[in-house]
Amino acid sequence: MRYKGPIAFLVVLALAGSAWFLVRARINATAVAGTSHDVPKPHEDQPPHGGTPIGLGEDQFNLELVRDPAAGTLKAFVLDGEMEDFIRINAKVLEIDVEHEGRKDTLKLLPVADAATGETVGDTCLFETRADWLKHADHFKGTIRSLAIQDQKFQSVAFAFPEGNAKD
Amino acid sequence: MLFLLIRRGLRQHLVSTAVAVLLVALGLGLVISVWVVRTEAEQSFTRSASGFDAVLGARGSKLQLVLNALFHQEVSPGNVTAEDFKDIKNLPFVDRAIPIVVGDNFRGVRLVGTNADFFENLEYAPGHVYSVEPGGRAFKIGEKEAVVGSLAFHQLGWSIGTTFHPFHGLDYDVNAQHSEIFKVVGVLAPTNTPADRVIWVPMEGVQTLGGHDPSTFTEMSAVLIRFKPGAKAAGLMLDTRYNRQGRRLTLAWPVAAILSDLFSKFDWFERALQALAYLVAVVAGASVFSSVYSSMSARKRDLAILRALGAHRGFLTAAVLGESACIGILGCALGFGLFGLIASLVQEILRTRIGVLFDPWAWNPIMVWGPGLMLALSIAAGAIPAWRAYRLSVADGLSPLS
Amino acid sequence: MEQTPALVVRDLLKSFPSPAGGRVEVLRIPSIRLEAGQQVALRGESGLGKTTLLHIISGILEPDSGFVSVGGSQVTGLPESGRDRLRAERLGYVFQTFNLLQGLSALENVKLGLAFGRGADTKAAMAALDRVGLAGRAHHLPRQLSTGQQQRVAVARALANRPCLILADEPTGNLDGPRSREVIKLLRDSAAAVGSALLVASHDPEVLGNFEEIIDLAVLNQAPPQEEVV
Repeated sequence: MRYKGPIAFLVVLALAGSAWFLVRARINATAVAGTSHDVPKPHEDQPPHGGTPIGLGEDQFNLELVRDPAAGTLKAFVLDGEMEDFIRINAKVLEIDVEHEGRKDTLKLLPVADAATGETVGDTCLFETRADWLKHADHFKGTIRSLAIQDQKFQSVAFAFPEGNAKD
Repeated sequence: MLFLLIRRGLRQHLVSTAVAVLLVALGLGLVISVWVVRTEAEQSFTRSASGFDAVLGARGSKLQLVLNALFHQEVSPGNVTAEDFKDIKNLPFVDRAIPIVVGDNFRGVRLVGTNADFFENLEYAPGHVYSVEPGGRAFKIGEKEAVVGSLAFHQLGWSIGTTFHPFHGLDYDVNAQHSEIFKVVGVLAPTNTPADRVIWVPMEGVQTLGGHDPSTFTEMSAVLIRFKPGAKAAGLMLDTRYNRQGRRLTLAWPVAAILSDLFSKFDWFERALQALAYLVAVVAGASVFSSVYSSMSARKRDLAILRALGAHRGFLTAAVLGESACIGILGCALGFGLFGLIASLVQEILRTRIGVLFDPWAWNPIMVWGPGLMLALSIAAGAIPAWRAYRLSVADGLSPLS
Repeated sequence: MEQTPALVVRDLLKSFPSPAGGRVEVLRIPSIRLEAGQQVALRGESGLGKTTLLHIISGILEPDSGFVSVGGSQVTGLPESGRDRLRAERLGYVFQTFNLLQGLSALENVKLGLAFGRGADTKAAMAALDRVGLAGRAHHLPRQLSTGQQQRVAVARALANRPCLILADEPTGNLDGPRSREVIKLLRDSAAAVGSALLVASHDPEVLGNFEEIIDLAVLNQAPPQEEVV
């Protein structure tokens, strides 16, 4: 039949077009459902600054330790159990007994006020200290003497830096 | 001969053919319009974010911040202090930090206060910087001078040297006129961004207007921020600091994602429009079916004569399918015209109301699969009449009419 | 040298399903033979099976059994595509009135007679129109032509491909006496001019009176008489 070719072409075109339509409709629905550019979402159980997480109690809260070797500082952020929210406390000092290269010392981290975040001494999540040996100490052991967060108190929390104190 | 028969067949039933073509055109026009307006509008908005990566403002909605600071819509959620501005401007990974002060207008056209950095090689798009048209100049800091966006300039019918009293607030209130007088000293070269729709004045000019709270004289509505190239973690770091650790300010970052979220809020509306467009497309298909079917039924004897003259069954089938395909092709051509009309309207609205450049003719896959769909639908609509033509009994078709 | 006969029919049998069940025999033809260029009228009242016979000869219908050949080419037993081709190349067909395609001009209608055979040839189509005296109306649509002129266009179409056999089924059905004679004369003269055999089926004495040779279908057809053939 002389027109078999054109007819077959037209039928295939019709079927292909319909199939394409169905595929596109599905792609469109999928695309619409989940369009998000690179919106940063807080990763659960990941320290927000990439520092060392120290679990407090049964992981009701966390402390994130961030060392700045250039400045020789150690910062501690108080976080919730999932490390999503920052918890402000009124502690006047955060003391950590450390052991580094056989030497023992006590770090006293003081509360930091930040106008940008609205934090003040007595209402802050950030504590900081500075020591020369922190510039070179990429490994040390530490024990948090005592820390009160909301109505809970945590004492003698031991950890290793930068490993943390995760049980598993 | 086949194409001659197709042409004449369409002409013989001109009214039903025309209706079918119009419906196919409407279907395609709507499908493409809904698709392009949705996708291209979002991209247009993102492009119009003027090359800034983030906006810092008072605690509140990120979307509100972006719309207020970059698109000059909405109200500002609050103020940012001069210290906040200095703090972020001095961060090592921040390339540019431009302050924005809003709160006044002239007959509904916003006054936006900023500093001299705005005219210092500030790119709003790669290779394009904000500049003043020849014949004018940038405003002097501390003076009551204005550089007017090109759209606003033409809308207000001003010229260089025009003086005006601003009005308090973002909406025009004839009773809220400020006593201060500003003078137009330049026109902003067109940027195809919302910057074209507003009147640019020195920051202090807005902050210190009569009636404004003196304690806020150094505050600003927002800070527009651009990070240095390669500062990948900058946004995340500031997001953590301002949005999660802090409670006083909000950093709207990344701007593109925030705008995308805005559009996703209209998904339901878009889906409704899409459903309507597809419904029209289906109706168009039905119209093609009706046109071709009735045409074929009316020409049953003609088809029988063709068979008697030696035409194969396939010839008749091809003729019928060809008619429906032609309706589809004509409808698609007209449909693009309809889309052009709709797109021009949307383009004009976005340009004049928001200052966003909407390019409806930018490449979009719908330009191919849209007409492909309508053509396929048209041909499919001709399938049953074509099958009937194929199955035509020649002897019955040649039966005497009386 | 003996010329190939234009038409040979042998032991033709055709029946149709009966509304009451079973089958109704409509045609039982022992033999028909037309030599090349021979012009014959086929007489038969309405319902006797004239059209059915013409449809079988032209391959539009298939008989239950029997043999048909046109111009030496066997029709019976051919697949449908073969019969379509045979109609296009070797046969010309003049139907009852209103057999032109209304949307095509006179010339385009004539070209249809060529399109499915050797191809639509404008020159040959114009020559055919000229032969029937309508070259000046080549671009007129059927509605712009009189009934007689329309039938002449139909004659031109049937002749365009210089067939070996022209079949005409009640070609003067809607015409008055003078026009009727005019069309038959044109048909006979044109067929003779191109050397086509001619078989005209009609019940009209005016038509039959133009032919020296007449086949009486009522006599030839040995099928049992029916009250009505559907």
